[in-house]
Order: sequence, then C-alpha cells, then structure tokens
Amino acid sequence: MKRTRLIALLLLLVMCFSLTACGDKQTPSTSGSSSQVSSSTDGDVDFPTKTITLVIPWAAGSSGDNGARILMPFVEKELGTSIAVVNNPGASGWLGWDEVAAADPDGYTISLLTLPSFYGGYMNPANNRTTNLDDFQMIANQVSDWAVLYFQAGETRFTDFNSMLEYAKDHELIIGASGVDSDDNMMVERLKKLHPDIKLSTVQGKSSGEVKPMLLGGHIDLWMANVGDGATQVKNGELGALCVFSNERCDMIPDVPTYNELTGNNLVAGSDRGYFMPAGGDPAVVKKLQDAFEKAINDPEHIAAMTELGINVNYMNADDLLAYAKDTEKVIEELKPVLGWN
Amino acid sequence: MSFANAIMTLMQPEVFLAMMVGILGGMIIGILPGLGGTIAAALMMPLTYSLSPTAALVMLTTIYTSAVYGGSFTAILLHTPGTTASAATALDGYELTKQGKGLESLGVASFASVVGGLFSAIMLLMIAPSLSKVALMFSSPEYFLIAIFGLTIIGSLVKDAPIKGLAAGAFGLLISTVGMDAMTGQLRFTFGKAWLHSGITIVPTMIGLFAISQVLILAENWAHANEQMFEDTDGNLKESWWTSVKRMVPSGKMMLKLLPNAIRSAVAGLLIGIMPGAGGDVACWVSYDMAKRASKTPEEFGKGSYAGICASEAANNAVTGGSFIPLFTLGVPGSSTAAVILGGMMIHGLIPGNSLFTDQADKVYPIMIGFMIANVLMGIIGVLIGPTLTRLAGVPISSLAPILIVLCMIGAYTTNGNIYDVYIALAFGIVGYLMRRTGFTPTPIVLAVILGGMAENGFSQSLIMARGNVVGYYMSRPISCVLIVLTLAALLWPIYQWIRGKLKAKKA
Amino acid sequence: MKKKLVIHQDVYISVLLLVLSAYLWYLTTKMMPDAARFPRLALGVFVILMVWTLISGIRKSIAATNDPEHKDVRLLKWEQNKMPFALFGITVLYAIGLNYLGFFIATAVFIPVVMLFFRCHNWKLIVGVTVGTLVFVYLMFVVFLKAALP
Repeated sequence: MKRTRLIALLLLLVMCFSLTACGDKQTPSTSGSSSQVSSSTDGDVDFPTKTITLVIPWAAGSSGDNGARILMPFVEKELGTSIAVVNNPGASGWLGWDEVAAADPDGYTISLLTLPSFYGGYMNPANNRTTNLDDFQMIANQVSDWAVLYFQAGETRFTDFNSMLEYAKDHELIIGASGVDSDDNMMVERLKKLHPDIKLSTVQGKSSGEVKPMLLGGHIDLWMANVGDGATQVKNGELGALCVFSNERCDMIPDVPTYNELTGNNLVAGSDRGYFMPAGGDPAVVKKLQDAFEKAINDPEHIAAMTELGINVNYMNADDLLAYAKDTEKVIEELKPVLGWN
Repeated sequence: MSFANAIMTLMQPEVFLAMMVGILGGMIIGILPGLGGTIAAALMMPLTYSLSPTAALVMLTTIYTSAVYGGSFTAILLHTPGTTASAATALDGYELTKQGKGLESLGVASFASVVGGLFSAIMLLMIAPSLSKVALMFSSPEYFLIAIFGLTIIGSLVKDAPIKGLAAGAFGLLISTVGMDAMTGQLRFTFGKAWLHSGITIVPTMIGLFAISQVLILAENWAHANEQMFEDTDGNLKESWWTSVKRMVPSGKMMLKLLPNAIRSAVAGLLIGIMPGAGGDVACWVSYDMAKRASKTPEEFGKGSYAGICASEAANNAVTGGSFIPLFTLGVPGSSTAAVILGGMMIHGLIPGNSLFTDQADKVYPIMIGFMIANVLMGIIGVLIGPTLTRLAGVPISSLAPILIVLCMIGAYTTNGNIYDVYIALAFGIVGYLMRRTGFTPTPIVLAVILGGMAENGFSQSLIMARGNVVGYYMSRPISCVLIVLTLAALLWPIYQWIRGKLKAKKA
Repeated sequence: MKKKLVIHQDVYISVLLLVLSAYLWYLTTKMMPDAARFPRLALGVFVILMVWTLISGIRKSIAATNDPEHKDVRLLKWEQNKMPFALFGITVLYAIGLNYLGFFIATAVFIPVVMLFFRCHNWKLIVGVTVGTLVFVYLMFVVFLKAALP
C-alpha cells in the first residue's frame, strides 16, 4: 500500500517533468546556428574545442545576468562554440568568483566581473579573503552603468546641479543610496569630499529598488543611482536627473549634463560589468577570447539590443579595464573608513 | 487592445503550455520546504529565455502565485511551510490535519488562494495605475509602523504563555539585528564570521523552527515510527481519489461563510503587496491577526480554524498581484519575487512604466489576463493533486523523516547557495524543539525575524528623513497617523476586554 | 518529613539566557551608538521578560518543593528526548557530510541510516525511498533547474 502511494507520487512528478520538457525548448545558449565561422584564422592554438562555461556569480534575471545573456550569442558566433551560462549566486558574488579563481585557466571557465561590488570581498577585512584582481586575467569590459544624481520631477527649490549646490549650502538635503558599502554610497561620499560645504544626509536602503520609490513619492530630495535605475523615468518625466558621472553625455539621457562639464572636476564612475578568467592562462587562448569579446561587444546589433533596455555599452580592452579597476581600488582604499571596512 | 485579442493571444499553445509549466513548476517548488516564489522564479528564469515575451511573463507571474499556493500544502500536512508566506497557515492547518481534516484544510486553502489571487489579478488589470500612486505614499515611517503593528500580533498568538511568547519575540528581534547594519555599516553579533555579515535570514530560521523541530517531535514517537503518522480517523486514506476530491472542495455554504474573510484578507494582502518593502511573509500574519480579531470564535485560532487558513492563504496570494502593480507601472518591484520578475521583463524587452500600458499593451494585457486565468487553473490543479498529497499523512515517520530532512537541507542551501544556512537551520531546529518542549513558542521568533529588520530600517531611515523633528514628521503624514491609531487600538483592545470582563463579573 | 528540593526548569533556562544576554549586552557596548540602539532595545525587553520568568520559575519551584504531589515540573525527560537528540546528532553529521562528500553520497548514506534508526527493516522500502529521493532531487534540481546543491 505504502509503496503504491509513493509510486503514485513519483509518477505525478515524472508527469510534471515530461510536461515541462515538452514545454520549453531548453537552454538559451546553444543557438549554434553558425558554428565554425571564424575558426583558427590567427591561431596556432586549437581553441575552443568544447563548450565554454560562463560563471555568473549573481542570480538569473539580475542586471549583470541579463547583459551577459544578451552578449553571449554574439561571442558564440565569434568563437564558433557554445557557451553555457551558469548562475552561481551567493556571498555577494564571491561564491562564484572563488570558484573561478581556483579553476583551470584553460579558457573554458570564464566569469562576469561586476565592479565595484567585487572590491568588498577582499578589501573589507571582515571578509578575510586574499583573492584579488591579480588572481584574474581580464578579458574585456562590456557595460558601464554610469552613476547619476536623480531628483524629483516636481522639484522647485533647485532646477539644476549648480542651483542644488547653492541651495544645499544653507539647507539640509536628504539623499538616498543603497547601503553603506554600495557603489551608490561610494559616489555620495566622493561627492561630499569634492563639495565639503553642502549639507547632505544619507538615507540608506538595501537596494536601489528600495530607494527609488522614496524619491518617486517625494520622501527624499536626491537619489544617487545608475543610468539603468531611472533613465526610463527620466524620459517619461517622472524623475529628473541633475548630472551623470561619465566622460561624455550618455545616449540614454542625452539632455543630462555630465558632472565634469558642469564643475571642471574629474569624477567618473558607475557600476561596470566585464569578463575575466583565472590568471595564468595560455596567452594565445587569452588573446582569442579578448578578440572575440571585442568584436562581440562592438557588434552594432548587440549595442542596439542593450540600448533598448537602457543599458550603456562601454567597451574597454583588457589593459584599460585593469587600469580602471586598479584606479578605483585606490579610491576605495581611501574611502574604507566611511564604508565601515576596518 | 480588446479583450478578445488578449484571449486569442492566450490561446496560443506556447502561452498555454508556459502557463501549465509555470503552475506545476511553481507548485512543486513551493511545496518543497523553504523554496518559495523568489527562488522558483530565479531557477526557472532560464526556461523563459527562448519563449515569446508574453509566454515568458505569463510563466513567471504564474510561477509566483502557484509557488505561494503550493507552500500551503506542506504547511498544512506536515507543519513545514513550503514558503515563508505560508508560516501562518501551518498553525491551524497542521492542527486540522492531526484531527483528520487535512483534505478539508487543503480545500479551504485552495479556495482562499484562488480568491486572493483572482482578486489581486482583477485589481492589477483594472486600477493598477491609480493604485501605484498609493504605493508611493508609503515610505520608511509607514514601514516602521506596519512592522510595529505586525509585532503586536505576537500578543494574540501566545495567550497561553504570554511572557515566554513575548520573550521569544524579543529574541527574534535580536536575531534580526545580526549582520551588517544598513545605515551605519556596523557589524553586529557576527563574532568575526564573514558568513554572518548578511545576517540570519528568514528561510533557514523558519525551516529550523517549524520543519526540523517538527521532525524531531515526530521522532519522540519512534516506537511507532513504522506505522501511519496519524490515526486514519475518518478513513480518508481508503477513499477513492474521486471521493476525496469531492470532500476537498468546500461546500457552497462554507465558501459563503469564508468569503467575507477571504475578501478582507485579499484586500490586506493586495495593499501589503503593493508596498515595495513588505511581502507575503508579512501579509499572512497581518490578515491572520485581522481574522482572529474579527472572528466570533477567536479561541479556535491556533487550534484548528478554517478561518485562520483562509485569511493567511487569501492574503499571501493577493500579495502576488499587488506586487506586480508598482512593478508594471513604476518599475519598482513590490516584493523580492517581483524583483526577479523585473529581470525577466527586461530581458524580454518589456520596460516597466506607464508606457507599458500604451505602447506594449498588446503584450501586457494578455499577461495580466493570463495571470488571472492561471490563478483559477492553479486551484483546479491543486484540488486534483490534493488527495494524492494528503496521503503523505499516511506515510510512516521512518520514511518521511529522512526525506523531509533532506529537502529541508536543500531548501536552506539553495536560497543563498550557502552551507552555513544549513547549519543555521539545524541550530534553529534543536532550539525550536527545546522551545516547544519547555513552554516557549517558536512562532514569535519567525514573526520577529521577518519584521525586526523592517522596523529598524524604517525607523533609522525615517530619523534622517525627519530632519530632527521626529514626532512632527510622523504626525504630518496621514497614513502614519492611521497606523499609530491602529497599533494603539490593537494594544489597548485586550485591556479593554479585560476591564469589560471584570465589570461583567462584578455585576454577576 | 524531609522535603526534596525541586527546581523548575524555567529557573535553569532563564538563568542561562540571562547570562547570555549579559554577554550580548557587553558586545553592544563596542558598537556605534546608532547601530547599538535597536539591539539594546530588544535585549532590554528580553531581559525583563527573562527576570519575570525566573521569578515565576522560583515560585513554581517553591510550590513544587512544598507539595510532593505537584506535577507541574515539566523537566525535559531523557526517555522522551533521547530519540530526537539522537536524530539531531545524525542530522548534524549529515550536514557536515554534505560539505565534504557532496550531496548525493551523503544523502545516499543518510536516508538508510535514519530509516534503520527508526527500526525499519523493510529493505525494499529503504532502497525505494533512497533511490526515489535521489532521482527526484537529481531530476528536479540538477537536470531541470540547474540549481547548485551542497
């Protein structure tokens, strides 16, 4: 009797599985329509000969994951192989990164690098980790989601960045950021350092999704976040943006001036997503990956697909990415006391 | 966009199949202890990448609501809430299962889930844009007050041993402070362990306190471990499947009796769902408490009340539709599951905002109508598989205990991919067992862990928003004032009843 | 007649928890004042309620000491609790095993052990449950959902 019940249960489950198996066409990555398009033109190495695994240390559907999944078909086309995307979230990304750092640097295991969330794992002494940038080989940067200073759409006390600075000298403004050690709060602190005479009090949420309704509902005055967090609302007139912290104006919000052009200071930052692999790989393999990513990221179709989603593509080659990452590392080193990393 | 066109879109085999996969997948993951809508949507997300946007979003929204529904099955049958949103369901559901009324409880839960889900789906379809404005009126001060209001529920949960119950609540609040403080970055009670930085989360806590402690209690009875878990008092194990199905569907009279309760709970669930800072885990308790206060027989609550199940289940399914309202209109997810679904929308090129309802209406209306239909289908499927699942109660402990423990471990691990969460679940398992054997109730801990962080965050944030004048700031916000009055009423009500009882006694 | 001193379990529990509270309070003194506010509030309430429990525990102990027939001393009884504790011990070993052996090996050992522990000698059932669970988990989490397992 008992066993029949168990069998009944199992049968039911099997039924569900067979149903689902028919329903979905499974796995996005093996589109493989155009294999061996660009195989071994410049190479003495035979790479790749099998599926490459991309470890994403964040959950499926997170912003980094979305961008990577859009890019991968283009990389697959360049490399002529399929790429399996594996989500391995946990420990603020370090569950995946620790795994990748320890993997064989044969080029078949690559990972998504998200800055600046990467720094917390080893720069915050409480995490007790020694793995750092030097344990990885950079491939390329795909996305730079520049920091933006948002304000309420119906704001009357100030209308642009400079009038906000004037106003904030005499009046306390409430600015929202997503956690003491978030990239948003790093930006608030860097801004405070450059403008020591303005009065800003920071409200910390747990994520930008928690802070956004505070600004939309008029409970705070300013919101430090990224282009991707609010560009749509700016376009719809539901939010305003005072400035963007990028070198040039951003295509998503072309009317918003950059911080640098407004002040003459130099403050460019945001949240960046690149790709890297364990250090110590065969230079020829690394070169192949770098070339493939360069072509894929600069593919107009890829850029168009990303722009439609409000994500700003910013290709950087491996050297530039490393230099940029090291520079940011230095800035964060100075900010350690404010972030509570001691 | 006409209704007929939307239906036509839904009739496509791809969309319908996606809905079925969503219902079954969501329900199975929801049934497994600890795995709720968020993890279900995240795990099944890759399956949607190859689908059309409509099919993908129908699947994701369906997964959410059916995972919440599935969570009630194990809560009722095994005192093992499948999701955090079904914690309140376990209180009465398991008592009823022990009385041999598992089938009927599942029936009530199905009825309530369908009512709650359907109600929220209709609201989403009809008045999403105006409701999203309501969502924006809530912010940190209100979240703080809602959390405090929720904490007053502890008082009514632990009538038998109020001091120990409240102590458990205070202990739960303490647990909610473990980890990094969001406002200051201060590490609290982490004892130098990196894995405690993100705090002790609700999933392993609940798995330990409810599920593992329950397995340990079952083990006390080990001499009878190879027999059926419960006396088959009313013979439902021997009945044919069809008889069981008929027994499971609540009678028309019962449905009518529970309908006001279900609607009230659905409204509460919808409102809590709309708020970005609170989800199903809060909603089930708030509406459970409301139902208890409104009930003519509050003493039944916690000892096997259908009204309790109905309140909790209607509310947590109403949260799903509610959380889509700010998601679709503002791009602000109303719950952590909605945040995952936001990712799914982005990758399918659906940009949230009011333009979604104009430019992409041809995709969004079928999604919302599909979500509505899914809520009904889910109930039907639930009723069909319910009888098979109730036979779980006939599985001997010797087989059930190891399976449950294995599933609990997976549930604790998968949410964050962290082995330490497994240890946390185990620690709470033995703590919960000892508490239940020494007159403490573990339920307040679960409630306090859910609400503690919300209360503290809301309060610290509102301190800054208030610019130094805290009392004036709270008083200047109408919703805050209403919540303060509600909380005071909740606290003073028992005292009033007590005085009235004394006066009556004097007269007599 | 010599009275036997009976101490109610609430006394032990509350004293233990009060000592723990004192230690946790000490930890809060090292925190930033803003961050310490809420934990102290929770601790304060907890301590008050524990003192209350202690007092009522002492009262119950006195009552029980004076009245040998008093049955309200619900001490944890070894006969009742040894099985749950043993099961818990096995589960802890299992959790450690998960980390070192991986999910499938650890589970393949754990399920038969627990079933034997419950004196289930039906080998077919043991094999069925073990294999069934493993297959289910494999299909569900590895094949279908591609989720990480311990």
